[in-house]
Amino acid sequence: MLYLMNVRENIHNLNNPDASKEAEILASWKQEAEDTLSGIQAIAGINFPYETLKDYRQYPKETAFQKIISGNKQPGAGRVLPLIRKYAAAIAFLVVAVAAFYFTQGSASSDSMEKMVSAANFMQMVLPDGSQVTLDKYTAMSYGQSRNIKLDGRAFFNVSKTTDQQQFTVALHKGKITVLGTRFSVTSRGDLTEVAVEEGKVRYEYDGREIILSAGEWMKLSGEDIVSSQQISTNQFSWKDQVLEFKNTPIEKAIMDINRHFGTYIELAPNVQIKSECLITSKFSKEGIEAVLAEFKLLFNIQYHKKDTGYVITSIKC
Amino acid sequence: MDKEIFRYLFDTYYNALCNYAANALGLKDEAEDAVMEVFTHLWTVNSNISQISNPKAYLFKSVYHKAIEKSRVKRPVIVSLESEKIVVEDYKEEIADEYLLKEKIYQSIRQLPSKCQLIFVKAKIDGMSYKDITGEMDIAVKTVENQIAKAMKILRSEFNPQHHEL
Repeated sequence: MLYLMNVRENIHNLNNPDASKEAEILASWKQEAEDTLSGIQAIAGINFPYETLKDYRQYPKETAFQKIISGNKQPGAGRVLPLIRKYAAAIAFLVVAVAAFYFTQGSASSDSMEKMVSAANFMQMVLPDGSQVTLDKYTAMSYGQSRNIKLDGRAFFNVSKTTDQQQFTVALHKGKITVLGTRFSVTSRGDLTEVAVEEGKVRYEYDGREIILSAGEWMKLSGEDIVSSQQISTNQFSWKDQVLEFKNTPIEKAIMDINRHFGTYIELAPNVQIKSECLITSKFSKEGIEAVLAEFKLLFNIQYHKKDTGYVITSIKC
Repeated sequence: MDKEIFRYLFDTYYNALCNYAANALGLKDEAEDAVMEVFTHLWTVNSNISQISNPKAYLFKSVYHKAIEKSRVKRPVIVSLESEKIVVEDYKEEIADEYLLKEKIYQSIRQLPSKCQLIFVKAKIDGMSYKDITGEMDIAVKTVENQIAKAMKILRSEFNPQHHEL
């Protein structure tokens, strides 16, 4: 515990070329590792089950280290087509530029923020405090030494508890979230603000108002109003798990889930009537919106066309 | 200095993480790739690596996420959450500790004198009987017993310095 406090006390000095501070950090890590090992060795005693080492092996560590240090470190990089990599780099650059613009607006924080960008990919990462984050594609997030996050896009957080009870906050386009050890999803894209809590509690604040959300609760900003519900959809976190599942789900509800999942907008033409017995049972994993619509076409013979960035369903039979 | 810290993290955790990825997370041939990707990210993106407050949790959780990512990539069609959990167990700190302990013990065994090491591995890890070892290596049972006793003495002193002093 003393080690953690020591690290945090010194965090603000880490960019300083004062090598002695960094040496202290390294020494504390080494001490921590020794302490941990001594503990588990004491527990294991002399009766270690050596047979469990049967599958244990030595990996070529030095080769791996040199590859990383020399820059020739991307395992499997050769499997990616150079052209795709070129585009990926271009997209990443654009998103970084946009994110950099967004994150620097009104940011006078002394915290040396690092920028982290998911250009076109769903990705997962671990923050320095051990909290886990799943980022949806086209999401930008900044994080620094403190537990203050800025988000543009959609993310699911599994926040670690810390010994010093330091608050974990997420700044959104509109509002701010404060949490203490919890799992929740948040979307902040332009005017769209939505929060759903899987475990624990979060506090959402916006424009002088606040709402406490507990596990299984959800809220969104509708215009300038905070709208909340004590019931969340079974597909509320489907984007994170990349599995969208329907079990005897009414079509209209399924369309709402699809819209949330893909961040798109499918609407029904005014003349389309859906019978209440029109239900769907299906499961999609990693498929795109077109594949989902194709299955709907197969099941319900829907007719649809593209409209702006979304779709309009003009006919449905079931 | 950052390179020194990176080297320390790499030396301490690399092999344990590869074995964790291969055996606990079921990555097998992709274990090294997963661990390399995590360390590469650490080295290239996370430039101020000293700010990581809990390196053990950071590295093991990162490899855990890599395993999930890779298991998803390998499955092009429908994946149920239930079946995914069979492949990738939830991250647990005690599993990380178990692999760090295995690493320590594995490295200690590798430091044993060669003949002593060979006999110890056959008896304690491969589970061969003393009789089978004597037949395979053409040595006396007494020799096997002596070498095992010698190995255990060295390992005990390695794991518990107080025992050595006694």
